[in-house]
Amino acid sequence: MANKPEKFLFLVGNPNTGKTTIFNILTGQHAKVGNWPGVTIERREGRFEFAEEEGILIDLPGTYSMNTLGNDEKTVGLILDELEKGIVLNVVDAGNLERNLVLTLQMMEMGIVPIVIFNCSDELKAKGFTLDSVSFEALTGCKCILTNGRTLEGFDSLRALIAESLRHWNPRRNSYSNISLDWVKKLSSFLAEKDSEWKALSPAQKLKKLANLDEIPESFDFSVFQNLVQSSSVCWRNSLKNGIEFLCFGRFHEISRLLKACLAPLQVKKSDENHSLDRILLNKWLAFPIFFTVLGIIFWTTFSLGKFPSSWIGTFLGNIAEYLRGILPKTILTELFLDGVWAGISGVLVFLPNILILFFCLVILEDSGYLARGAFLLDRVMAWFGFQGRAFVLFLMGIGCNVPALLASKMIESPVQRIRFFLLIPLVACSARLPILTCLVGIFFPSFPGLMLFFMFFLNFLVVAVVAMLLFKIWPDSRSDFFLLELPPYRIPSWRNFLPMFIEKIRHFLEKAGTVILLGTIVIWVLNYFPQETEFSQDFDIEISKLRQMPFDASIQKKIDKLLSQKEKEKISGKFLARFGKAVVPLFEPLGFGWREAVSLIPGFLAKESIVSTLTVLYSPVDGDLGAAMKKEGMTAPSALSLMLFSIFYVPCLPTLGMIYRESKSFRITLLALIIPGMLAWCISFFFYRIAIFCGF
Amino acid sequence: MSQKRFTLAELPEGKTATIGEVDLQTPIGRRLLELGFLPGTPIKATFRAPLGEPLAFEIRGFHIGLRQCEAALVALKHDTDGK
Repeated sequence: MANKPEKFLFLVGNPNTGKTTIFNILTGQHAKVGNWPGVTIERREGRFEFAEEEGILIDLPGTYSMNTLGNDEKTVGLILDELEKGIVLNVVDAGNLERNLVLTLQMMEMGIVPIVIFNCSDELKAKGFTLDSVSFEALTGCKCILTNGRTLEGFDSLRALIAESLRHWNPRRNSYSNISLDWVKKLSSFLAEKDSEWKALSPAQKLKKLANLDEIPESFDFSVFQNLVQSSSVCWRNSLKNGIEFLCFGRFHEISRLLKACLAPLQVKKSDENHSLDRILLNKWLAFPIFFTVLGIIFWTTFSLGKFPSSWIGTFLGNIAEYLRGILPKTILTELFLDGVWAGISGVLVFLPNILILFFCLVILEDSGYLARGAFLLDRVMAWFGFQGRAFVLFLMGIGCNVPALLASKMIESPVQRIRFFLLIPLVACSARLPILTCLVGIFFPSFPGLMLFFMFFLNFLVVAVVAMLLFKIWPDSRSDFFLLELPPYRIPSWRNFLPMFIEKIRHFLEKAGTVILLGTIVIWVLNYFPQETEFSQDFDIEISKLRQMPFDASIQKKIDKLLSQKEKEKISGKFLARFGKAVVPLFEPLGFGWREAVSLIPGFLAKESIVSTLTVLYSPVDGDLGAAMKKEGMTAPSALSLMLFSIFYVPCLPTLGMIYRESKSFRITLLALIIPGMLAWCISFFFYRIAIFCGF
Repeated sequence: MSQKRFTLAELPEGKTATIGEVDLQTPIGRRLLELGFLPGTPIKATFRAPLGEPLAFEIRGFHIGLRQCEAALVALKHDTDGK
């Protein structure tokens, strides 16, 4: 039993057919997400078990045509040839049969006989029809079943049907002999006549031959085709110019014949009310206010509401750490564990609430069909920057936090656009940059803090826009990167999709990004821990204990505090991290930073929030007045401006970088995402520093 | 019929027309053809995005958004549209 070869089932279908829901229902909730070997097309697989039969169910990306199953010919071929080794389950949106069946027919032309699943059967009923599955099976030779992903109607029969084909496992039965559909039979016999090898070709080779039909020499007689497609249809007026026109005509002709035979009208006929919602949601005046309200709500829930569970997790883990610190022996291992590993784990876990809330909202947005409307509304704007409309949502989320935006980047379908997105998103100022901005704005620009903040964000937007356009120039979309913006019918999202998606996203984040974050935290800890012995300028412990013995009063306490912070400062500046910071000071001198600023940027790499806290430690201001301390050490308004700009752009934080690496799977792109912001930051800061000095701030 | 080409991009909101020809020189045109943008198929312009682009169409029972330049690949027949 154990060594039986795996049996593969493939879910193929148009986008928006409820394919994912079917996958989740059939596999339970355990999807494994990987890639097709050698290519970057996502491959979700799960185990199907029913009536002592089992197989591996693989969910393919939604596609309108076999030609676009992958992002290039090689990928399509790779996936198609895989299909031949298993059984194809073709999910068809019963509310939109005509267009969905094109894919079915296309598969049959290549000799694949799928099991057809007519999903959303309620929508067919709403349109006033029933489907006669007996005649469908008789005509096509495909087993078929009507399902409804919401009510689970039809799924018992579907499971039984799949188990049946697993029991009598024979993927090779896929052949033309089963098909009684006129079109496919004639086409295949016609092509077999022209090409003796036709029947022995693999599906991928067949697809290529079919797609290149119009590359047949001119001597080729297309009139044969014309006889194939009975010119009974009214629309059939032009002479066929080439093979692809012939194929498309033939398919639609055959589909209309098929539907005429299989569809029976119901007594009660309802009108199709679904798209009338668009009259409000796509209304010239209401569309944008509604869309931005929805986005605003999502943004607010994700980041404002998400802040609470995040801080609970942070506090909880922090308390445990404190407790452990109390009971564990004070060794270097304990400190490594608590300040390195444990801090790293907390740094990873605090992201989870945001991620969960965001994905919850995104699934609702996507499954309801509203995301497509948003993409439709903003397509014009995003096109300037070389993106699809739906990328807007991702950039907006990036303002909250780059990490979940990256985790959702699969939403961008085009691979080239995704790469540009990876390089751009670190430049989008996330909310973690706010503490350093508000802190410095308050200290150095007290008369117009709001204006200054606005200027920062406006400049940030400008830079992102300009860089986006530049990247678009450098890496334009290829001509075949064309994405159809379907406006699917509005549907109620299925709750079944949430849990599997949560598990999948969390696992992904923890596995890949989590390890990078953890490692980075430990490395920084090590650099900040060693060397252990520091040469102090004076013996602080003795001085402090001397002071402690004196009669207690406020001024003594002040002196003790000052010594303590002085000691802390000297301790930190002796570590490798600070030494490194001091070593790179020459690099930052043109920007007006001192060594403290340079050093504080390093923990800022772990999380941008920590720039302020590091600065506070390094300056160890008397009375907690960071501003006075900074000014005393020579920070001026121009250098503060320069520091703010630098901290907005300089490098993506470590979690972001980890996510970029995970999503792009490319070391080069990750490196670019690190270098581009760094260089930009330096140039921008330098430019504005000089301007500010010139203007006499 | 030697007038200027009348394309989907110029079809006013709410009007229905018949597809005449799709430019197959581009991958986009071929994809549209595969989706059922065949000569002789009726198509209705349903919405125009507030910023002028893209345009939404209803064809064969489904709704699709096309950018101006994509819609311009689809030529319409002159005699339809009621006028």
